[in-house]
Amino acid sequence: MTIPSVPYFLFLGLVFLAFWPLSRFRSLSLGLVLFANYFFYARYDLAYLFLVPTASSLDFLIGLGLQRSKLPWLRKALVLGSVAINLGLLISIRYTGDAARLLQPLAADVFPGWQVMLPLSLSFYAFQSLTYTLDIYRRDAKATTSYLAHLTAVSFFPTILAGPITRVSSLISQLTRSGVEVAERNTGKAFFLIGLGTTKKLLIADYLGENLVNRIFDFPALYSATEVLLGVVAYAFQLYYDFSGYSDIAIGSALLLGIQLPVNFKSPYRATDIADFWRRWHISLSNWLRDYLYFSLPGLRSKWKLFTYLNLVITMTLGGIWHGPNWNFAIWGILHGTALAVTRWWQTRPSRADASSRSSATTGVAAKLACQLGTFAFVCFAWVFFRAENLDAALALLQHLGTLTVGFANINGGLWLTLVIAVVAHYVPDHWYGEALQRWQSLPAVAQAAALAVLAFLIQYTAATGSAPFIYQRF
Amino acid sequence: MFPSLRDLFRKPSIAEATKSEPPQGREAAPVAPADDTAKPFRLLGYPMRALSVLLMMLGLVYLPQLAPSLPLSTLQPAQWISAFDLLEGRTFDFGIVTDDPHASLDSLLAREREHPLLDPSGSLDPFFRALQQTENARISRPKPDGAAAVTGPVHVLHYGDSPTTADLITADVRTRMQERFGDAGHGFSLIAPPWAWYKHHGVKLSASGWAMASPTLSRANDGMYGLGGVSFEGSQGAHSEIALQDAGHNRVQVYYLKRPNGGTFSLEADGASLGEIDTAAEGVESSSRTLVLPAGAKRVSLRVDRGSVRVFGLELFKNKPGVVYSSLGLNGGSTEVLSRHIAAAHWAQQLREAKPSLVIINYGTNESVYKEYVSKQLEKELRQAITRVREAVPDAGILVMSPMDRGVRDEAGNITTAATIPQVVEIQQRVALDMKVAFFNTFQAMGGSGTMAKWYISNPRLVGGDYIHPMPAGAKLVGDKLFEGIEEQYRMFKLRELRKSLAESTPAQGKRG
Repeated sequence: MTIPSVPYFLFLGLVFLAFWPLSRFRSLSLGLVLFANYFFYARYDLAYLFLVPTASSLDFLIGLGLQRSKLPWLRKALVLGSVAINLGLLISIRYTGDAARLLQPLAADVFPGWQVMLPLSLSFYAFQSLTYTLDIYRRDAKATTSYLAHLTAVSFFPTILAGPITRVSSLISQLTRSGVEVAERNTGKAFFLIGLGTTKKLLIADYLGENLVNRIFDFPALYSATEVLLGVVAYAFQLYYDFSGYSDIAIGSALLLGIQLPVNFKSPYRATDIADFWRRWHISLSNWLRDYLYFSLPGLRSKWKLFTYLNLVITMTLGGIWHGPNWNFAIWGILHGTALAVTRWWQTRPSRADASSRSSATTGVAAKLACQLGTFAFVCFAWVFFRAENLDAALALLQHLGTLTVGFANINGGLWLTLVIAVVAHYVPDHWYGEALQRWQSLPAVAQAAALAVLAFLIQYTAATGSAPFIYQRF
Repeated sequence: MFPSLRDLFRKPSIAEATKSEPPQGREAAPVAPADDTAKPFRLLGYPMRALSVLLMMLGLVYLPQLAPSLPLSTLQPAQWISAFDLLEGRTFDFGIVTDDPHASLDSLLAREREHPLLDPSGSLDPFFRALQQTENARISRPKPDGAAAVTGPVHVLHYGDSPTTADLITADVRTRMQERFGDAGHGFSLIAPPWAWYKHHGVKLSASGWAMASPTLSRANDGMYGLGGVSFEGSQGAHSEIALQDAGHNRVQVYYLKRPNGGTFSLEADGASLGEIDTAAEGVESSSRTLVLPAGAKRVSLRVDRGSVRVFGLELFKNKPGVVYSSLGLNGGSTEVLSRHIAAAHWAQQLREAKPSLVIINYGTNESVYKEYVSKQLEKELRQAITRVREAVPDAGILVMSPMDRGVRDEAGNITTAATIPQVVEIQQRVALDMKVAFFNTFQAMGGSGTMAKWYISNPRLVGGDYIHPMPAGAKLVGDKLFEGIEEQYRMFKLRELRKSLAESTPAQGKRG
């Protein structure tokens, strides 16, 4: 079920209509959300109806075991078991694509039409589920005794495609109390986010992807260097609007059920350095990598700073490889890890405090802009490896950029307009969005409904071709 | 029980309009504190404002049903059902293969007639004869001196547009042909890439100092572009290097122009001199010269030593029987390149030098952009191109290869086949059959109308984001189809030849008997 699509919004509307009358009966409302979660998974493949409940049940039991056990070795064994289950699930689906493709012809002989590969990666399920057992292991959270609440929270449907990764303990506490006040308070915001996310996805991300980015990355040699450069910049914005659009819809969908999910993006291309970028981009994953991977690596408290830098590179490289087992993602991770390490070294060097106090008066807007531009350029450079089909394609694109040929014959008015909107919407002052939200919330219900109906017609229109799946859905 | 009409149109209370988190990445502006502390009305536990917005929106979405003339589509019952369709279009076909192994001969022949490669006039017979000789030479026992096993290569010239420029499709056909009939060398290569898109499988070009002219770049006044459609003018110091992945080539044939005051250029292989070529002559004349490569040569370089020279490209051969498949693509190329832009006498001379067994004319995609042109001009241009090839190399087979499907977005946003593509294919087929040359229906072979839409959503993607240029996997698919078409017709040719020889020998045997 693609988000945003007519089936998804019908599904969401029906879940909303069924949920609130049952909300007074905790077990019934949890049961309904659990049914919705599993229905959502089953739309991708029926196999998930076995995989997800099995993994969730094991994690529930491990959680209880962790809560009750005081033996360090047993607790360690239990948490390792949970890590093995969830990483095993992640790896078996994410990294066995090639093996599945090899099996496909064999399976096709027996079951024609059967797809061996599962369409939906369970990465975000695994990350979310691990927050539960790891938090209990670290004694940052308590295990729930409600099997139903655990199953429901760990597979909460708005978060399973691509996050925001939410701590299961937070979801359980929200699901087990009445969220009607949250929903009432945030009705306007929920619809605003769903509308904004849909617009971001369909009108900006998909348009740029279809009409510029895919073409440039497929055949850079057919375009001038300036067009290729625009294509790379367009990809940076396509990815942002695609992913943040999805996050908006997920957060808005959850709010309709009275559940608050964490913010996932904060205008990432306004970052002034790469560490700042990762505080603004895919925040829930950055936090997950920091809390559960980076802090778990050895040597963090060592007096040798080298460990800190090395751990940053390792964390980001693993984060890169998580996107796919190929050189492109590894290079992307290494680039970001190295940049983070260099930034950390630069920001913590002993002479930094004096230098910054001396220069702060003379720097200012110009320096900030230069830092923003430099960070954006670096991020775009790394995106080339992230987006290209393989290493050769990435190098060919970069090489073609080096030809410095100038021309914009393939960039039509619609593309220029969309690019300008994408850039401007990203860089307008923060308070504009706050004011827009306030104005939206102050609109009468009928006006909001009318605006959403217009959006529905827009979705109907684009549904003719089907919106492209969210880019991060495949990771 | 339900909220009143006034409630629906009223502004929300401050409590409703505030206290919310900002949207993604934005801080909400400071808002006034809530003063509406009354417990809100709830029906069946619903947050009423959300419920009313949802229900009104649903009502508005169905409003167009009251005015069917409006170009707005409303939610269809099927879409409601689709929200609950667990299989979501997935099908599980456990059926039995319906191919009947005992299908009648008629149906087999009918299927044959539907084959995308048509050659009812047998125009490819000279090409197939050459293939047969090559095949026989490959399987015959070589004589002690090895000479008898070597026949001239079966040379295929494939003229085309952008996919051919990037050696897409052609590289795949070359590989399949050479696996089947033997590898007699890479064939033609330009001496510098006129477009970044120009790339040949197994050949890497680096060059400097050349001024290039081509019908689709800046044109040369005399229309002399050589076999490959690009002319390279260079003065002293101009240089090209061709790195070969395959070190098995034995000969290089270089194409150039002789002219008054022509300069000299030299060729080297792996640093060893192959010879110097003087292009000076009394008159203007297209020419070529073949030089022997040392064993294992991996780099061939060409350098202008004196004056100014004009070079058209070079061909690489091996001393063994097999196929040479030359990819001759021009970015943005169309049939007019062959029918009018390349000077006829010059091109005829270049074709004769190349001694092709088959010339493939593979255009149509770029023409399909211009509807009027397709209707009024394409047929004339194609007839002229075929006539030119036939006059230049009468013994060569000619194959007109249709364009692939070309996808465009329609008004509803669907990827559909450009309306002119079937028209181009129809014209090409009609002209080819009328002029008694062979025709390969690429469009049909790849799946016909709407193929690019399927290719675009397939995994891995088979066509690029422009719905025109095939990805390597898509190009291979088309290349395989063309090879299979050629091989099928070759089998039919051999069958015909066998029947003919049987028919000739049977009466003699009868007399003897």
